[in-house]
Amino acid sequence: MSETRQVRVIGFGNTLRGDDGLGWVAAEALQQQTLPGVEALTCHQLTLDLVEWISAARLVILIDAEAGDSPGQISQREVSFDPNAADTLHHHQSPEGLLAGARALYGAAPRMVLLTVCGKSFEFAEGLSPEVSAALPDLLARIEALIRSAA
Amino acid sequence: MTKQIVIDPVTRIEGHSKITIQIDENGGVTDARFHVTQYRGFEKFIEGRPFYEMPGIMGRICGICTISHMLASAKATDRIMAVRVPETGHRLRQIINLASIIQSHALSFFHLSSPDFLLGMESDPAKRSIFGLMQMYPEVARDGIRLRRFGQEIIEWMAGKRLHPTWIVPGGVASPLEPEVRDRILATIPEIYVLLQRNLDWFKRKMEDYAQEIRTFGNFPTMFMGTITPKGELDLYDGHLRIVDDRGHMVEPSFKAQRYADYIGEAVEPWTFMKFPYYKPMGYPDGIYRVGPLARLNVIDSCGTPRADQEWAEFRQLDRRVVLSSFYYHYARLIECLYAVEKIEMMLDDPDILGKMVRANAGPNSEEGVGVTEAPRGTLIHHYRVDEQGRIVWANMIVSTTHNNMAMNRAVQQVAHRYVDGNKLTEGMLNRVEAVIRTFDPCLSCSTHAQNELPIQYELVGPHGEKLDEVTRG
Amino acid sequence: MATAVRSRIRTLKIDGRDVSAREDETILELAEENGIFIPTLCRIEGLSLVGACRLCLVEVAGMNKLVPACLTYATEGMEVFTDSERLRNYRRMILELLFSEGNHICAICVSNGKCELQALAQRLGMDHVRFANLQQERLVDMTHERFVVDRNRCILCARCVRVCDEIEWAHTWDIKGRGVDARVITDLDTPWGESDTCTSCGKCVRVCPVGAIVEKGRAVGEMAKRHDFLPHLAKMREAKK
Ligand code: SF4
Ligand code: FES
Repeated sequence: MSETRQVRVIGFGNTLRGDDGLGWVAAEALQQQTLPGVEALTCHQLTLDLVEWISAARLVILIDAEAGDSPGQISQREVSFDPNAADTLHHHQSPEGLLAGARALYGAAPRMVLLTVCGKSFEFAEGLSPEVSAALPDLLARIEALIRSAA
Repeated sequence: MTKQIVIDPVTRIEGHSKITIQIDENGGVTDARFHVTQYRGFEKFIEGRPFYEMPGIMGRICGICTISHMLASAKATDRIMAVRVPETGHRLRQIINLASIIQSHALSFFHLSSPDFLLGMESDPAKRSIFGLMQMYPEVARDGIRLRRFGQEIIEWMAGKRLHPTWIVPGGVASPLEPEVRDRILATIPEIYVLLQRNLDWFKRKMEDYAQEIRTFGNFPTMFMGTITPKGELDLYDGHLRIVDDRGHMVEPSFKAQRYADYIGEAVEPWTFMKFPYYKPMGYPDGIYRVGPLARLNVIDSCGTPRADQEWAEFRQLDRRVVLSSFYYHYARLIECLYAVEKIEMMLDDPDILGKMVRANAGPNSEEGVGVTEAPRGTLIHHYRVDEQGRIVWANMIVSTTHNNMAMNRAVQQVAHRYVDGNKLTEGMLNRVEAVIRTFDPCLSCSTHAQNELPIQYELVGPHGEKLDEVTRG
Repeated sequence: MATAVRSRIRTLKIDGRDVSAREDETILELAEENGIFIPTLCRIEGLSLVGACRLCLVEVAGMNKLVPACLTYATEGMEVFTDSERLRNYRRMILELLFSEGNHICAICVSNGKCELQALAQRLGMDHVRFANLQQERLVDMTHERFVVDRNRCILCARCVRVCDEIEWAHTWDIKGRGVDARVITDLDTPWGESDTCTSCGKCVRVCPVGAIVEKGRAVGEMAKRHDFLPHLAKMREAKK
């Protein structure tokens, strides 16, 4: 059972930008648990070359921090296939862009879930704010629930 | 009448990159500006720190150009130590630099820009997206992924699988090259040649469809600056700087990169945080020049590698003297990739590359150090001063994107003149403004030293300063 | 040795487990013997104990105050708790205070991945700092030919002071000032490079648990340290005495 549970987790952000490092903290926590069939990686931003890696998965979980008014609040969003995935001047991709890539290039259609935690401070610093940190156990519980659902 | 179209306005940090277009009573464009409205410096971070920590810290300026910043920084620290990097160490740094340029060019050409020319400028963003590209030209998208991975893997194999490798150190590199890594890289090279040739072929055919863009995309006379070997060949890591004018005449045939401050001034404008470097003897704003792939191919006498030289000869036929249209940055990127692969192969084929002496050690022996290298987007300058103990007391950096600031502004003006019509921001016009900025492949997180790339905000401003239209995208 | 003969055996409880200890044994030593983890920072085998970091605090039944395990001897019938919500909070807070007092940005530190403070923060699950960084400008001294002291990273554990005094017998290092103003100095607060007493033996480099005293010229993450030389040296010293 566990062998078929292909889950890929990407925690992204910048660890030198306070709460933006959340994705890393969460993904690293998962790496330490070494759950069978689950792989996690950390990166600065989403780039298209990740498409290949996620294409093998049944479930892809993205973890990110976002700006907003209620620090620590977790939101969960199903990333749906959207051919409109905006083209940008930037070097990173949207989650939709990754999903679109998996479909177009590798014929893969994994379920993709974006988990974001509302950050408090994105100042130049290492480490999370108390609010975001307090949300971590909840976040990890959600991730684990998602992983179980993919079994 | 103000209409707001907001596309994905998610931003993490206050502040945007902004493009404002000013129009007169008749809807004619009077001015257009590309601003950066946010700045966070690294300066407070590094003051008082030991000089030899700089490469590790500077690598954090940007997630895309990590290697370039580390190299420019390490070169500045070599100068502070007043040492010569051992030959093998020097070449290993060159290889990782080339790999970094390849991975960056792959992103720029395949993933950001190729939808522009493969799917057309007028097509709505839905179709002109990366998805559109992947659906209609999956092999191009896959090639982009493959090429980027080629560059990334070389970096990983040489420097370790870390986001911010610490392999590049003052005086050289931290460890010699393993024979096994050399063989692994060499084994993948033939495939990459085929890939590049395939894409060069279609791109050259496609260029014929873009006569109009070529004419209007940042096509104006400027000078160009790039790094050359003593023989006048292309060099992406080390060498003297050369400046040529819009007719290809030598303005500065060759000057020491360490003396950049004698040649380059930096102007500031109140409406943007990005500075405006200019060629000093001509003053601001007449001393406008461009850097990056297009500029580099314009200043050299040859690439110095057979395949790239063949392409380069064709490239130089594109215009009568030097190639002026910024559209050709894309072409130049592909040629540079070819050059980079050839150069990597040549260096790896030399058995000396496995030499064990890769790092020189010393304390501070000079109060000042300038490190200049060619980053994917152009000349990158790091300049530090230290006290007698070797603690940083002052630093200045001119990043590649900043050199192109004046040219990018002018390019935006040019496109706005040609495509803005009436007092609305149309898709076709926005697409083209973005496309022209993309030719320069600016790295906004680098040039503001901020850590995240920001969405771009567009504003159309009427004759009396009133906001007519506004769009945020990116 | 003489002490071993004289020592009597005590029985007590650690975390509900019955254990026996010699009378000259501290709670910390006893816990370690029994495979029970108590975090420490200032303690280092082979040097005297100062109880500076307070990370090893434990609970003892019947006592309101927390006691440092490294300085407290086992007594008969004692009941010790090494792990509780209160202790976990307390230890995390100590670490957070240490982080907030200096510049501890691991990503750009020479000791990244090889630092005792960083390792402890990870082990104790300290993933954020509740206190604003004091943003103190503390001096980096690079005057010594081979070594650097970056006071921004110092956690005032006094290991350098002790190793220099007790093993090298040079007494170059001292701690000057109190509270947030406290900092390590060489000689009478003169530049390290001008020190008359420093023998450049490098022992302080090896015992410093963080990236505060390091070799010059190390890049990020390059400063690995080993201090397993200490117990051996300490023994030799004792034998000489
Ligand atoms: S310099 Fe190092 S060993 Fe000395 S007190 Fe500070 S942290 Fe401890
Ligand atoms: S180890 Fe006991 S107080 Fe530091």
